[in-house]
Amino acid sequence: MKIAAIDLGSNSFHMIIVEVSASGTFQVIDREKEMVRLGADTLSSGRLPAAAMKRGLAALSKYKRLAQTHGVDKILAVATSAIREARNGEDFLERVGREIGFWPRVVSGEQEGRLIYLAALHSVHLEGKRALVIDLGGGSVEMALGEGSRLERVLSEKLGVLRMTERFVKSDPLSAKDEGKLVAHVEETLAGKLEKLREAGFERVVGSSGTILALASLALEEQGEKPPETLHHASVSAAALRAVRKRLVASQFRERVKMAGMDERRADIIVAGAVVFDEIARRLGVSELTLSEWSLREGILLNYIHGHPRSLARAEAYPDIRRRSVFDLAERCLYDEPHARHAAALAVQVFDATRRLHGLGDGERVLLENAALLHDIGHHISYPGHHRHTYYLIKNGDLRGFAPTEIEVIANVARYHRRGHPRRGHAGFGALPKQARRSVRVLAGILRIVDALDRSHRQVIRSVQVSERGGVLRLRCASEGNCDLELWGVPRRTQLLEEALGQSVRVETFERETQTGVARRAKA
Amino acid sequence: MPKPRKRTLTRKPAPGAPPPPPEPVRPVGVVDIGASAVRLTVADARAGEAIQILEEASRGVLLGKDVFTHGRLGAATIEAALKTLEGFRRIMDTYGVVRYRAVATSAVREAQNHETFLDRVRLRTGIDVETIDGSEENRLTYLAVRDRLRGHEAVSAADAVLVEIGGGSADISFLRKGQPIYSGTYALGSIRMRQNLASWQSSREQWVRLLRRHIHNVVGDIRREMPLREATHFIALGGDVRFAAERILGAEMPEDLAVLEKAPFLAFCEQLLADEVEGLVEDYRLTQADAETLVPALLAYRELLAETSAERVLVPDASLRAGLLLDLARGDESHEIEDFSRQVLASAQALGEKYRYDASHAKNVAQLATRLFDELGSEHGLSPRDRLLLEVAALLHDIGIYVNLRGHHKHTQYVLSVAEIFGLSRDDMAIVSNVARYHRRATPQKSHLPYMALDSDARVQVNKLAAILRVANALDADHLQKVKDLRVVVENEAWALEVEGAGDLTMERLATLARSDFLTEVFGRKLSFREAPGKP
Repeated sequence: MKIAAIDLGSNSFHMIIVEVSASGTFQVIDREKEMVRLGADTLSSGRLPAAAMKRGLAALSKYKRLAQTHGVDKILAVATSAIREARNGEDFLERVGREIGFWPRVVSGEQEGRLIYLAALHSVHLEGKRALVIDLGGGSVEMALGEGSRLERVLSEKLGVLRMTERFVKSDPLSAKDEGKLVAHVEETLAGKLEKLREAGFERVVGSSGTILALASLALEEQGEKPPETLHHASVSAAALRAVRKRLVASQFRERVKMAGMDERRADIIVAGAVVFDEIARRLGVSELTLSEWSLREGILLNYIHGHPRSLARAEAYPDIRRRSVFDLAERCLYDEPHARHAAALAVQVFDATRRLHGLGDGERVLLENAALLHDIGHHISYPGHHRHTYYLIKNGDLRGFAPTEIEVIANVARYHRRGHPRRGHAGFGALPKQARRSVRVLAGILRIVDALDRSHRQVIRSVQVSERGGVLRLRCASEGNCDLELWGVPRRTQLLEEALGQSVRVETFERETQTGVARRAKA
Repeated sequence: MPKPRKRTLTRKPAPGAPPPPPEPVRPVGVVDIGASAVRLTVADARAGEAIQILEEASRGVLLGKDVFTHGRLGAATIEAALKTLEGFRRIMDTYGVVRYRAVATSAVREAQNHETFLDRVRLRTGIDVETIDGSEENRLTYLAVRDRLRGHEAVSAADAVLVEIGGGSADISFLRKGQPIYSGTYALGSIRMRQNLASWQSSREQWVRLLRRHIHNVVGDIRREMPLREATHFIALGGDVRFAAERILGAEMPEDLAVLEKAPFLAFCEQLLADEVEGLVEDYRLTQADAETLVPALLAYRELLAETSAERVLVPDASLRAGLLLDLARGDESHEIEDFSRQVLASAQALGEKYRYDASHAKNVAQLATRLFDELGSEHGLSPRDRLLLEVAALLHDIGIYVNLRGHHKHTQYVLSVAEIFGLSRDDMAIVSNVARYHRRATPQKSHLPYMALDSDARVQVNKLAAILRVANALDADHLQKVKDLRVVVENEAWALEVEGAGDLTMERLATLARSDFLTEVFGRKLSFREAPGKP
């Protein structure tokens, strides 16, 4: 199963596309990053400017195309502080949903912290030690403290680098006065809070986010170490990061752009980032930082994987998205699997044997099979009227890979597996085109009979042979064991098919000589 | 719900009749119009005192046979019922009954001509009969059982199933430590099963096999809805099982509670199966009607018993009428409402679990919604019962996510409009499902059919409750339960919501302000949001 996770940050949008296995491990197939700077002006004005929205939509539509090219099954997208705080954030999300076709979820700072912690927990070897994860984003900084899988506390403060840059960085190089204001603001915002984290105690500190990785990269360069291919799991001392701060604060923009290890797109905001991080690290008494390339988007992914182990296992079992979403729905409704599968098998047997009479094709055969698999799921809601609940669940249960008319046909066929016959006055049925209405009558006619053929839900009737002569359709059913209940029920279920095909239907059973049956007889 | 329509009889002035004795408390009457009989109990019932039965009367009238076969009550049956009820009226008059409650269950409820029937009853006898639905029946029976088994393990510490096989259907509840968490009505009615299989022309042996298969199927469905296997006690009600108890225990049968060991009960069932209906009539001196339902009913009890872990069958002397009497006896004391709420909420939570709801979010929203309800007490004019409906709607507002996240408020409405919650009637559920639906997105519109199907009082009720729920849900916008408590302060014709919470409440503030429009529309007050002072 392929999943794309997108993080709509205040500074940049990230996407990763991964292939997830049923065991919950995943492999990154593609990564994408764009500095949209959605938070520029937004964080101070409280509104997303039209230009930022436009950049955001363009990036997301590119991501969507990329995800489609990879054939992803699911897009998980979350939006953070810039969108969370903007008064027109909802409008932006509404546009994303309508114009691009997926709906990002807004997460709070606390949730962000939780997801980031989850990502660090699964990517950094923490040796079960108490760990503090720091993520310095564009709009906010998140700090999450925990031990193993137990997250203890999350701190989310509006001290993101973009926000701080817009507010305090008025000079280049940063004047002592501006730096002083920035430090005072950090001090004031965090008053009393970091002490609590410190008291709670931690042995490891993990840093994620673009800003922290960029600072670390500069620090490693400065120490004369060639930064490794990947920064993940590398360590850097707080002292080295402090030296980087000093150097950045003293530098002009055009000097910074040229620094070894500097990403020029960050050269403007990194100064504030260096100051904020250093102030936090100093107050917390951090001596060494382990870097993590995994952050919010990986957290989103892990969160999904942990919440949906079954859907992953299903994805492995059914590579076909139609089958998969049908079984997904069926399992959610705790269906009686042997009965559903048996009804589906018998239904296609009857369908195939009567092709000449109904003239329907393979497309309808698939619809019948799926309707048979799902016909009883309405039980989960309530037994009385369960055929109507089935209809509702199929219509609304997120079946994928089917056209809307196909879903309507499946839902109708399943709905008419018992009780009243299809009537034009029934809303769902009446709205179908004529050809589809005929299909529903035939397919529901077949389903009604085969459902009755497994009335006891014990699969006593093993197979059906069909013959037709002189307007009489004869269903010869091979049974194993007693089938009273089936024989009793069937005659009351034949009328719809009789009307749809203009044939009368006769059902008879014969005892099948199975191997076990023979053996039993021999013993006796 | 404890909203019994308590009725009073107006005496027809009978010439020459003695004036009623000046009694401070008069006896009360309850009438139960069931599928196979019409029954009356007259008793002295006072709050806090034991109920004294003064007279009981019963007459076999096969209403169910008509309805379950033809869908309506036949003229002869109606006449028989009217005659019986006239007699009952006379008995009640003799005792000077003024307060009474007369109810009709599934047979009458399902009859196409039930309104005509009830009207004729009113005209001929002056008795006003209400049709009650399965949930009310379950609630009343539960009251009676709990009263009769007071202190017994089956209704206190253990898990139990409570089964009553009636003529039209079976009412089954699952009690966890005495609280009914699941209850439902199932197609195991003895008369109905008999009628359905009547067309099957074959040997008795085959007929029994067929019946058994059918029961087995339905029991399979029940097993998927409630954890029958976990029940260590089996409580059985109904005439058929009572008859079995009388035969098995003979003269030693205790009045209040008969206890049947599993083995003799199963043996008795086997013995009955061997006999034809005619044989039963002869051997046990049964009426034809009673003999016909005996086998289907006992088979159903037997199959259900086999699904549980119980070793014996408890047959308490408890009935719908006993429940009605208890209901009439108790006043509108607040602890009764509390007790009832507990049962309803336990059942609502079980439903939430079935749909894998986010329990912490649900409970937080329910707590905040009821707090808001209480804070606005002087402004909304709603009753404690409405508070309970709000609490249920708040607990379950998100269950539609199980169907699909997109449009989940509508799915919630669909599921709740057909779901069973112990003690809540279909009318109650119509309110609950609408309130839950309007927890997000569009507010009520003329084009919303389920909303328009409510009467105007109910629509106003839904508006007020949904407006409160929207705000309560916004207060846990993050699903992290950051808001712990709230107060409403009235300031210059507006409401200030003073919120006590932990952490960053930005999301909650924004969500609350964005979603308070409906509250403002319904109550005409603007809402502002602030964090309670004095908290770190």
